[in-house]
Amino acid sequence: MTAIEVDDVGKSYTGKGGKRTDALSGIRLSVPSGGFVSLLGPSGCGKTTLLKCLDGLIPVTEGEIRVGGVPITGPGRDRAFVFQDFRLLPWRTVLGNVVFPLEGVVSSRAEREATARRYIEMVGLSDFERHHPHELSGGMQQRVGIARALAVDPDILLMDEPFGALDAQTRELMQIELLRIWELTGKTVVFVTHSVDEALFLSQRVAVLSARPGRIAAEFEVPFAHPRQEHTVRGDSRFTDLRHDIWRLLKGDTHAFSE
Amino acid sequence: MTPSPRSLAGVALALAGWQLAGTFRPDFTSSPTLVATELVRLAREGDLLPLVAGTVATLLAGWTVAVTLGTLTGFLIGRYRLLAVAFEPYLVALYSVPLIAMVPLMVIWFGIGEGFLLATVVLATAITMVFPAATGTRESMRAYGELARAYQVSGHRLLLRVVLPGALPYVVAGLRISVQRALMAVVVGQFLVGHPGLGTLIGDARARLDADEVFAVALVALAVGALLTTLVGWAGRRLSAWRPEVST
Amino acid sequence: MTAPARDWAVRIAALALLLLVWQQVAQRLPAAILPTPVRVGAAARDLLTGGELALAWGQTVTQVAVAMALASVAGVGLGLLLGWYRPLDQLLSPLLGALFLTPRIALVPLIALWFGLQDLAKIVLILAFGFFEVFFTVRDGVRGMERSYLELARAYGVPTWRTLRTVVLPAARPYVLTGLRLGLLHALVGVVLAGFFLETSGIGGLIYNLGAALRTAELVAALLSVMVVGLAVNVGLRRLEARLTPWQVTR
Ligand SMILES: Nc1ncnc2c1ncn2[C@@H]1O[C@H](COP(=O)(O)OP(=O)(O)O)[C@@H](O)[C@H]1O
Ligand SMILES: [Mg+2]
Repeated sequence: MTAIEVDDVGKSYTGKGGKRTDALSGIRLSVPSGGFVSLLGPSGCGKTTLLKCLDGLIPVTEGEIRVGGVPITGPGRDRAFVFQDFRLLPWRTVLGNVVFPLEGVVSSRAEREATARRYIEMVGLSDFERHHPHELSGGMQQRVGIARALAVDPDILLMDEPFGALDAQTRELMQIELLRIWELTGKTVVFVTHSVDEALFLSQRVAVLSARPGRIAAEFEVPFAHPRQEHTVRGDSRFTDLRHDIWRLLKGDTHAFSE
Repeated sequence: MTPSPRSLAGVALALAGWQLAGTFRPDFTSSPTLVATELVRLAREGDLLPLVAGTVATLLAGWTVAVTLGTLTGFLIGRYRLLAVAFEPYLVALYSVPLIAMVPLMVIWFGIGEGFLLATVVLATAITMVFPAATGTRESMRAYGELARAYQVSGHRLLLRVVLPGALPYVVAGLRISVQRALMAVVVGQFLVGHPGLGTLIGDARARLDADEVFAVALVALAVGALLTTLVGWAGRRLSAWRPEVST
Repeated sequence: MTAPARDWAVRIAALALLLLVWQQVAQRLPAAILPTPVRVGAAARDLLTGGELALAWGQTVTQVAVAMALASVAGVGLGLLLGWYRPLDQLLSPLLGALFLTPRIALVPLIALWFGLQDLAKIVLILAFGFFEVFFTVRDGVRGMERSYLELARAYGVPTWRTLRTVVLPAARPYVLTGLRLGLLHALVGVVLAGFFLETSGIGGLIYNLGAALRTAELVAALLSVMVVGLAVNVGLRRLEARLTPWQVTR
């Protein structure tokens, strides 16, 4: 079953003075239910734009996006967005941040907090639920961001370079953690990254975007079964081959890959 | 930047409302037309323009001294930690107090002439430049200090080529506040001792309580304030066009 | 010696030096021009025990309290409204901006015309000084508030009114506190000028009278009392801000 269908989508921004930027053009993509698909591409190629279109945060200018067969008109509770900058509310505790999207939806406070606590535990932050974001490390803050997204129990997680602001080591830990959660919950994940390794390690399929206006240059199936073990995957020769192919594709696009 | 239609509508509405109010109680609210007539009268009979020009000249002279003094002080405490440790708390204290309260003391020291006005402007204004300049100096030392050391830039070259340009946006952000303070200081000084200028125009209006004059004088003060702020803002942007604006 | 202790030693030495210079200069000048620190100390004691200072500050504090209460309600309310709702901001900003650019002292005749010279007039003048700091700080805070928080609220389907309550208001809190602090500091200028140019009472009036009577030692003592109040307001409210919004670095 397909969770998301992107049908010939284009997006252009109109800046001040009517200047137009074509960010996306002719995007076709389908994401299977329960699948893990990465969007890979250089900075500025439109990954965030595409992901925000998927969430309905910004309207597309051409084409159509369907979720569960229904065209989307705006953000919905079947999708949850994880931001690169974590975007926690600094005046709220960890618990308060995870509860945030449930307020006004789940009427009982006890029930809200119980739900939130379940996901805080899933991301391993039970001991920190009374802490404020500024007291947490970056990795912990993004765990909160992920718990918040999971708390609304969406079908689809939309993750915009969620580990982009983390150091290399934390990043690897978080990747393993994310796979564990994905395997546990069975959510559909669309994951944006500009790291080839990250895309290959995490996902079942990698869609490579070319630079402005962003188009899908190629899609790669990643043949490893889940649950994945880090060392076995990264050591595998098929991994190295895929890595090589994608790099070549990206390099052939040097104008785009000036970052 | 062109004003939005809504902004123009706001001004137009306010003027219309004012005109309307003036048909009921002109002795209380005056009206745009009455004020315009009054302004013409003031210009003809009351030496309006020379008084305003004189005030602005005094202000600019005092302001220049104040900015130089304040910026220099700020640079010193920004650059030398010992000076900051020794004097910053007292400078913060000066920044927290309404220095305009010192005007009676200024009268005792400087009399009621031009020198008194200049001293008042300097006293009230210099402090506003100290902290922007200090912050700017610190920021630019933090951002480029290592770079300068790595390339062996030091002494006056460090000051002129690295620290001052880096501190400039902060100084520029302080200028606008300082010129507004300077305007208030000179007006308060003139008002208090009756030294001819914008301050005495305000004093006369306050004494006669004629609505047309009261509003006309306030408008003149607004025009002077807006003009100075705009000019300083414009000059500041020219000076630091290559850096994003900072707020302090 | 620890670093903070050494810093304090330097600070106190600097103060001692300033006092010494003052003493030396003052000894060579007539007391009416510059009284010595010792004389000022004695004058401060007289003002305190004679009740003059208490009386003046008593009148002033009530006026400031009323004016700042009004300034907070109006400044925070309008600041939130105009920061949040752009069309209204565009409509009203030119007028508020014009008032802001007018040196507040030029409003004295208008205030005298409308409200007389007594308490009410003084409250209005202090309000005119305190309001804009509160208003502009809050408005700019809400307006420049991380647009990203609003995007977050939208992404998670939070309705507008709830966004206002759970995102905009808390995000504005540090700006409200900063605005109130700056407003109160500015209001002190209004206090002084109200005493100079409206009815000669309160601490501003006391300063005016002492200056006019050439009672310089008392004048300096009264000025120092203003300085103490200003500093206490600034430091105290900064502490409070740091306590209430620990995630925000105060300006
Ligand atoms: N709100 C916007 N208005 C105008 N142009 C935008 C806006 N957001 C993004 N862009 C432009 O669209 C292109 C794609 O941006 P983005 O989706 O953020 O790329 P990525 O996430 O891949 O780095 C960039 O050239 C960017 O400058
Ligand atoms: Mg991006």
